[in-house]
Amino acid sequence: MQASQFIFDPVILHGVNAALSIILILGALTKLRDIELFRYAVENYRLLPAPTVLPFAWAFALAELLAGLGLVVEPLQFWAALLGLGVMAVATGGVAISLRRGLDRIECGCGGSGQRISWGLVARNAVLAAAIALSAGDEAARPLAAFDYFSVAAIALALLALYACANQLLANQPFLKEIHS
Amino acid sequence: MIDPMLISIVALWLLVIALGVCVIALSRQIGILYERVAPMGALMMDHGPKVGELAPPVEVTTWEGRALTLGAGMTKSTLIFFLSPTCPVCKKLLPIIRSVQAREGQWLDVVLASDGERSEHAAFYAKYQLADFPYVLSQPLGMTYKISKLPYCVLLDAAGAVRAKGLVNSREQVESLLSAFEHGVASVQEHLDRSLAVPAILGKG
Repeated sequence: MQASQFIFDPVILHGVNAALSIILILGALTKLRDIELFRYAVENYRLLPAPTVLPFAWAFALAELLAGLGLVVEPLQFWAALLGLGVMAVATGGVAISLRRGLDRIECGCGGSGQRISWGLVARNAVLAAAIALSAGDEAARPLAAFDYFSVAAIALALLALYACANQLLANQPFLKEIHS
Repeated sequence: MIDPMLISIVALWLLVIALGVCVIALSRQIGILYERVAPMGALMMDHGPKVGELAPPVEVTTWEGRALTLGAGMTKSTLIFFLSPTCPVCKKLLPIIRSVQAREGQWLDVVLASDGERSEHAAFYAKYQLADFPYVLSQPLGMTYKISKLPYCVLLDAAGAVRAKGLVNSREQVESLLSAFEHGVASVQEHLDRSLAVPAILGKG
């Protein structure tokens, strides 16, 4: 069995897809629930003129939501993946530019626990983007049995756990630096 | 009969997910440890003047250059709101702080406190029209109260004693800080503990 056959097996692709979809939808919902907060986070990046910040915040969160929803709807998958990649590129670009400018103490606005921007975050987004690109790939056709659905759910759950760990470790990082300094 | 391979795979998946959850919990706990160990890392209760204690007077200069002493010689209670121009939650809470100032102005003065270079604050100060408040940039003030997370509120009474303090993230938390003061409760947590304790006692009876 070849590696590509393994990667493009429907079980792997569906699992990755489900996990990505949940990550994107949850991310979008936290932003939409408190759009005011997200707007101030966007403002901190100092990349946009003041009047465009709020529309951008709405557009970004809605695009993220649409990408998340589309990833699990078979006919929309390709476009959703493109949209998702666009969202990732914008977010990661913003973070990278800010880091290059030396703004490393601002919050990323990813939602939740006040995670600060870092190169680790850029790496995390790169992995997510790679996964989105993979999920848009053509799956090898094979009939699915009941057990395959169990595998899909298990893969998705395990990936989500991994993602939560990565986020937690990224959030820990500034404190670790403080201890070393 | 079930295929032994199948049982094994299902068991392994369950283990992988359970272990994943364990790693999340562990990394969260490590995060909390880092937070406590870090030099400025302080959770409420442990550091700075305790609730009920007299706050050490700190001399500060407002944005306009007026001298102000926080913690001594005050005629009203003072709410010190610690913030920074790069903290999204602080910006979100500003209108709430403003409404508190307007509503409770009779007995309460609000002071905004931060630290760093004046130039970093100029745009923020102008944009959010902070001239309505005394705005002070003072590192000693932050050190005195061991502020490590923002936005943070400290409520001093007219005699200069700390009456309530804590990290605030929402309107509810600002309000509960004020009601903690009115009810003579040290912190939001204690307030919750008290209100939870009552039904627990009733439940046993």
